[in-house]
Amino acid sequence: MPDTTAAPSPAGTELVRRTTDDIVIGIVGSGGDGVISSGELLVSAAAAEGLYATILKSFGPQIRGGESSCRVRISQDEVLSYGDRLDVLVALNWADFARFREELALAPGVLVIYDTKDGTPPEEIPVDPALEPVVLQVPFHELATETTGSSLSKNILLLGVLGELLGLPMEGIAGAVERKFRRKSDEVRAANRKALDAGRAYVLGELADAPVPLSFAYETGEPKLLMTGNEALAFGALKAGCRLYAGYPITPSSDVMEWLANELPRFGGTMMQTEDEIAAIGMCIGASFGGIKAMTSTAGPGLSLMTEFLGLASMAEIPLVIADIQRVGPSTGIPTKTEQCDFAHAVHAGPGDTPRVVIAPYDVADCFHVGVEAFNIAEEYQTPVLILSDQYLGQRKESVVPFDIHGWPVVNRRTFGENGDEPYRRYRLDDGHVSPMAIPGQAGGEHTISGLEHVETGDPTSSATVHARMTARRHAKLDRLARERGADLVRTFGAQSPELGIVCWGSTSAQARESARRLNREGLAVGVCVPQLLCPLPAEPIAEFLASVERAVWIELNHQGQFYHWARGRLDLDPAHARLYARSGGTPFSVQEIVDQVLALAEKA
Amino acid sequence: MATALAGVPRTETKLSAKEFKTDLKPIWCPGCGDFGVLAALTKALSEIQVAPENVAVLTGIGCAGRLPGYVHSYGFNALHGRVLPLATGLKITRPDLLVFAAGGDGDGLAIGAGHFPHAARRNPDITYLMFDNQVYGLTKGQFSPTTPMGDVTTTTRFGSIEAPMNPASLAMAYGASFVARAFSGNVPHHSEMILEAFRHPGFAFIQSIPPCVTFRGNEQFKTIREKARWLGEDGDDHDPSDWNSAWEIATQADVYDMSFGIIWRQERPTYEERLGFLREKASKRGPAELDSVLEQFHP
Repeated sequence: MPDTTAAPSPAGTELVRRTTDDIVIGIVGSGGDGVISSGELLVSAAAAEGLYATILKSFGPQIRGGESSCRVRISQDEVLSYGDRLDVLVALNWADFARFREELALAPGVLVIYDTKDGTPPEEIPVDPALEPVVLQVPFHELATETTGSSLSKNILLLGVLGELLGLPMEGIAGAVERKFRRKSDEVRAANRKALDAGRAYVLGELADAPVPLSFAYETGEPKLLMTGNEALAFGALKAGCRLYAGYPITPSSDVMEWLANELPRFGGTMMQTEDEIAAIGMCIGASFGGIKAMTSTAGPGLSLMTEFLGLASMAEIPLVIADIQRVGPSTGIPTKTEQCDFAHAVHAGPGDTPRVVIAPYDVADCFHVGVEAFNIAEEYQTPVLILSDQYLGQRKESVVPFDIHGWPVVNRRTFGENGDEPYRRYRLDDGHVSPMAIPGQAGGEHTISGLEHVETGDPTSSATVHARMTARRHAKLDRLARERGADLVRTFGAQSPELGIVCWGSTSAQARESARRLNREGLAVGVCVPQLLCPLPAEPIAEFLASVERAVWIELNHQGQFYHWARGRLDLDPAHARLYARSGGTPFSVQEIVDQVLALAEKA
Repeated sequence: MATALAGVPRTETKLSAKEFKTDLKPIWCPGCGDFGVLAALTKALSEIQVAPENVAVLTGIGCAGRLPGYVHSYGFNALHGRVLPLATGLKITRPDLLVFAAGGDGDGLAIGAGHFPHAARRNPDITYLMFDNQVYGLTKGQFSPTTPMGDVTTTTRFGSIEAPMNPASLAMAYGASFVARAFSGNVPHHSEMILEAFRHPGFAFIQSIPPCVTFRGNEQFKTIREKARWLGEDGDDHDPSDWNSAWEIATQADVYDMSFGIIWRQERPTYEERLGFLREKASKRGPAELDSVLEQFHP
C-alpha cells in the first residue's frame, strides 16, 4: 500500500521524493524496440523477488512491427488490477505514444522518461502540463549503440535506468535478463550485462542530481509463479485429464491452443487444429463419446459457429468444455480488446430448451481452478460447460502464489457396469437425472445416441409425452447442480459485514475487489459478490449476499447488462436496492470507475 | 508402414452378419437402396472379426443418418454434415475402435463439404461411406449436389440448372488414400468394398449408389445392372495404383452408367501413426508429469 511521504511538488518548489510499494510503469515503443520484453523482464524480476506483478500488453493492428506498449504494476500486496494511472511513463518515441494515449492515463506528478533521439523539446511532449510531470531525457538509443555496438540492447539498458532510478529490485532484474538469454551466445549475454550496467551508470552519473518524484520500497518474499489466464486455464484442463483439444485459431483464445499443442502430446494427448470451429467442437464431442475428456476454446465469432453442436452435446448429454475468451463484439468487433459481451449467447445459444452450464473465472489463478472445475461439472452432470473468460483475463500475465496442483479433486463420469444396469439404458428416468455412460469398448453397453428426442435406450421417438419427461430430466440436472455446488461457486470478498455491495462476474471482479479494498480503508464497508457459476444461477447464495447489504451495484463490461437481466429473472431484486452499471468494453473498468459507482450508491441513502 | 485397424482387438470367431443387426425396424421406404448398404455393412463387420463393442457407426442427418440404430454396435446419429469431425475426433483418441462414418450426398457435399477434404488429407484410419442417391430423401425429394443437370425434383420443377459434383473424383483430388465405388444392388460386391476399406490403413472413401426408388424411380437400378463395369473382375485390368486410370474412372459423370470397385488405393502414413511420432518428439520436453509442466511458470 502506498506510503506517501509527500505529495508531488508544485512546479518551482523542491521536489520531495515519495516512497511507494505499489508502482505502475508504462513503456511505449515501436515494434522491434523490445518494450514488451522490458515489461516482461520487470514482471519476472518482481515475481522472483516474491513481489506481486502484472503486465498488460497492447499492440497496434499491424501483424508484425508497428507500435506496442505494456503497462506493468509491481506491488508488495496482491495486485488485483492493472492500476488506473501510470506513475512512470517511458516513451522511446512520442509518435507511438499517441496511439496508446487513451489506454495510458497518467497520474499527477508522473515521471516521464523519453529517448533523447526523439528530438521533441520537453515543453512540447504530449503530456498534460496540469499533471505537473517530471520529465527526463535519456539517450537510450545512442548509449546502447555506444555500449554494445547495437541499439537493440536499448530495452535492457532501459531496465538498468529504471531499476537504479526507482529502486526496483536490481538483482532480480539482472537475474531475469540472465534467465531470458540463457540459451544465447556468451557474446549476447555479455552485451546485455553491459547494457544493464550502462543504464545504471548513467543514472548514477548523468542523472545523479535529477529530480525523481518517487522510489520503490519493498521486502523480498517467496517467489511467485508467473502465468497468463489462458495458460492457467489450459493447465487446469490438463490437470483435469483433458486429452483432446481441438480448435481453430482466433484472437484472443489462440494461446490456449498453442500452449496445449506443446503440452498435450507428452501426456499421450492430442491438439488438433481444425478446418473451422464447427469441426473443432465436433472433434471434441466425438472424443467425449469415446470417453476421452475434450475441450475447445474460442471467442465470440467461433462460439456462434459452435452453437449447433452445443445443442447436440446438450441433447445427447455429452460431457464437454468450451472456453470463450471474450473480445469486443458483435461480429468481428475489436479482436484484441476485452468485453464481457458473450454472456447472453453463452446462456441462451441454440434453439430448443437447451440446458448447459456457464462458469466464469475471476482471476488468473482462478482460471486454473475453473479449468479443472469445468471438467468436473461436465463429467459429473454429463453436460457441455462453457467457461467465460476474456481478453483482459486471458492474456494478462500475472504473479500467482504457488498453489497445490495435486490437491484439486478430479471427477470422472459414471460409466456402464457401475450399477448393474441390464439391459443398458443410456437415459434412465429413474436414476437421479444422470445415467451411467457406456463407453465404446464396453461389451453389453452398445447403444445409439442422437440429437433426436429419445426414449431411455437412446432410440428415437416422436412422443410428446416422452419429450416432456426427457426435457424435465435434462433440466433437473441443472437444478441439482445449483443446489449441490451453488454455495461453493459464489465467492464473496471485502468487508465482513458490508453495508454496500458490488455484484460482478469474471474478470471485472479484480477491479471490483480493489475498489472495495480502497473504500474499506476509507471507512466504507463494501462487499463484493462474485458468482463463478452463472448458469444455472445459484440464486440462494446471491440472495443471501444481497440481503446482507443495504444496496448493491451490479457491474459488467457490456452495454446491455446481460448478466443483471438474467439474474433479475431468477432473483427477487428490488430495483430500489439494485443499481446497474454496464458499459461496453474496449478497455477494462478502472478501479476509480467502480469506486465512483459505489460512492454514488452511498449517496442514494 | 501403416497397418489397417492397428490397435483394434479382433475376435477369434466370426459373429454372423445377423448378430450385427438390431431389432429396430428401419424407417426406409420399401425397395430403398439403403437396405442393401446395411446388409453389406453387417456382412463386412462379420468378416473383419471385430466385436460389436469395438465398432462405432457415426452418421450425419438424412435417410442414411438412421443407419447406426440398425447396426449392433456403438452408434451416433449426429448433426447434418458433421460426421467427419466426430469420426476423426473419436478415432484419433480411441484408435482401438473400428470407426465407420456415413452420410448422404447432401450431408457430405452440401452442408458438410468443408470437412471432407480435411478428413481426407489427415488420413485417419476410418471408413467414410457416402450414400449417393442424388436426392434429398428424408426431406422428400429436393435436388442435391449430385443430382444430374436437367432432372426434375420438388425444388427443380423446370429441371436442375446446376452442374452436379462427382464424389469419387473429389475424394481423389482431396487426397483420400482409398477411393471405391459400390452399388447397393450387388450386396456381395458392396460388402467386399467395405471390407477392403476396413483393410485399408487410412481414410477410405466409398461412393455408394443406393438408388432412391421413391423420388428417383427404378431406372438407376436397372441401367446399372445392365451396363456396370466391375473393376478388376472378369478380366478387367484396372490397376488402383495407377492414378491416370483411376482418375478416368472416378470422373465418369453418368450416374446410370458407372464403374464399380476399388478406383484408387495408395499407402501412406495414417494420422494416428504421425501422431505417435509427434508424441515421441514432444516427450523430450519432459516427463508426463504436472510438476514438470509447472516448471515453466517459475520466473
